[in-house]
Amino acid sequence: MIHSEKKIPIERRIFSNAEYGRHNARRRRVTFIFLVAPALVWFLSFMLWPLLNMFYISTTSWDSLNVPKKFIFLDNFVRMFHDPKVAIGLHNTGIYLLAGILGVIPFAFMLGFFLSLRKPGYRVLRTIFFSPAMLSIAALAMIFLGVYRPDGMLNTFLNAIGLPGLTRVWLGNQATALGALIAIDIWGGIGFNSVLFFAALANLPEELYEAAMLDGAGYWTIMWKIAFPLMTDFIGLVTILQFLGILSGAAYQILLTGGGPGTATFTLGYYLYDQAFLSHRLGYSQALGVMVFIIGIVVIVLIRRTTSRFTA
Amino acid sequence: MNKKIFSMTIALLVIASMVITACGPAATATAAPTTPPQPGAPTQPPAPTQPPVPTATNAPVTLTIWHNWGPDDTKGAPLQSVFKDFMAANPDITIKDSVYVDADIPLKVETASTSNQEPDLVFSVLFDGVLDWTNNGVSLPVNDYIKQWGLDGKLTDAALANFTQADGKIRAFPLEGFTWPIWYNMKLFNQAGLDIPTTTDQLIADAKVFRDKGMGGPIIASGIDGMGGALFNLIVESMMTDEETNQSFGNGDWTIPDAIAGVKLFVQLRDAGVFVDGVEGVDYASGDSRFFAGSVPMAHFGSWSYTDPAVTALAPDIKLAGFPLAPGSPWKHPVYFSGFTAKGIFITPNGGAKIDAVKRFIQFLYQPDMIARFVQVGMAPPLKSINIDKSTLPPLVAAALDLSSIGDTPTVLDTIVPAAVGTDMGRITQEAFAPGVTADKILADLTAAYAAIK
Repeated sequence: MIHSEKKIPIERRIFSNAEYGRHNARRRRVTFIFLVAPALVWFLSFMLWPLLNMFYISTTSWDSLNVPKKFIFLDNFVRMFHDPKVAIGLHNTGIYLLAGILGVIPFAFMLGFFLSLRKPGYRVLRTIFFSPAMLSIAALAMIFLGVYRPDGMLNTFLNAIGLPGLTRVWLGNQATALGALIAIDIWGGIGFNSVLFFAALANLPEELYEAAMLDGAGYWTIMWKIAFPLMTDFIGLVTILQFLGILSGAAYQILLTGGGPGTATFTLGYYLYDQAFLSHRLGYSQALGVMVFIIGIVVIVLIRRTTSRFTA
Repeated sequence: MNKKIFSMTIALLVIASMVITACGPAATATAAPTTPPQPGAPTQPPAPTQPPVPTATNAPVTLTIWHNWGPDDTKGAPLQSVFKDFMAANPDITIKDSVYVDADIPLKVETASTSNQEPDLVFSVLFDGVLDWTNNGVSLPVNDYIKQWGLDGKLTDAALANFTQADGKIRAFPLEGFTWPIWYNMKLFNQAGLDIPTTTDQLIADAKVFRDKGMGGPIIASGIDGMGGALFNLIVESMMTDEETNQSFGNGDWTIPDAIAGVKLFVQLRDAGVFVDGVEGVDYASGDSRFFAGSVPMAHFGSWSYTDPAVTALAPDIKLAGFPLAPGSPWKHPVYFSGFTAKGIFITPNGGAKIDAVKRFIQFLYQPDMIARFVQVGMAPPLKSINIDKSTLPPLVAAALDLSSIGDTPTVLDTIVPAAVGTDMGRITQEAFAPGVTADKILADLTAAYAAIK
């Protein structure tokens, strides 16, 4: 059989290979589109379309789901720039972000590093650290309502250890309300993010640590001189997640303070919620959403650039 | 590396868009209004004024009703008994009711309404966005139904007034009336050798006595939530006529001398120690439990608590009265709130399509005997006459019936305060309970809140 095959001329063979290559490439393209299409359709339908809608609604006056929208172009944005509550929201959100990121990321990294050393009991600790993430926000809010009440756990504890002068009406006092909410985020955020760091640090080769230890490095040095530089990309990612959670979140304000007392806990995320669901100004709420979105993108790019410079 | 950074950035932008858009009503963005807008038509969909065509009376009908009177509410059992008796008397009608948290009902109804999935009847508080339901087509005006269904002249004027819009449309059938007085724990007052104060000077003097005896400030209020806000409003309104209240709370004019005097009175009382220490951080639940535990002399609770099981032991020691008056008050007697905005029955367009079944249910419910079941548990009746033996009523329910003879009732703010300043008002009154916050600061914040919506 083999001997009976006709010999194909070289130019014909080249042509066939080229045709086959084109055919193959086409087939791969079709397969690629076929595989990607469902995800693309999902993305366009459930992410891009609502996002575009947010931009559209932000140009309307829409006072209830049950009344028609009225196109007002940029009026909501003009109003936003003159709205003193936006300035208050930006100020409080800035404080929240600063404290919520600086208070969480370094400590979460350190805890994550400690867990990654796999000392005895690290599995139990890992579960304990992660437990706040398994509780619902409403349950957490109830817990901290009990903690922060005038006769709650925190004041009872301060009285018990002889520090009655430090007792406060934590959620009802302008000076302490925002700090009290930030403390909840830090409490929950450190544990949760430490488990994320643990998972990432566990992928670093152990030889790096062993070599450093042979050179006489302690855990502190290994953590900051070896693990930290290798993790900058991941730290950037965790920072972004923490940032986004705080920027657009308002759960504790909704459940515990209503943005008050006064404007003490009034953040941009809460203002967005307030305008959409309490004050029934859907168009204006989406204008705020656009602003939050733009802030989010700018800060994400900044964080990525910073961490990529460190990585380089 | 650049490609990697680029792809990472794109991925994070996608995550950011997901997180941020999750805050907005994205899913509802494409929802169409219940009435499709016509070219050149007014922006507000016209509310139907003619009763829709009734369904055949003998065909089986299911009436869906959303309310908040669940098993934990004192009115839950009477309501279920009414449903049961109604279905027994009308076997062709089945009631399918769903219980939701009071504050959640408006948004649920409005969202359901955009896809014509709303219930037939809604039991709701009249406040905030609910005030616009009739104009927005979420509910039908009931003027004609009141006349056609034999309720004309039977509902009290006060009840109807609360539910009537400026243009004369009646938003819903008024159902739950309430009284919201000051509760005085006479056991503690007697222990301190004091009687119920009728002036704020007496109240301040009493507060000093209570504090000197180590009992703390006499009034517990939930400074951190809306219930404390109601006490703030009552105190401020005690210095104002109803007309002035409309001007300030309704239109945001906080330069009226009596409005300023009202806010100053609140600050004066707060600084004189009439509230429990740390009142600015007390929530409703803990305020409730501290008063019902018998450790605080005064509280501001509504009629919904008259038959609360937690009150049973304390009830014999309780006297209901108004809030003491300051010199210069336009009122003759201590003041308390009373109104009918606590609950109305709204007919939705879906309910309008089953109007015969709705009619039969409303006519059944608004019989004096049926309404009396709710009065037994503390509800003020919307009917002019009901069949009730006062001697059979729980003590606080019976006492509340006499409140009008010893107190005056400033206007209820539910239908006056614009929805857009509702949350600001909450934050401002919450702040007002904190020591050190001046009357000028409160007035400036109130002025700014109203200015922001103009």
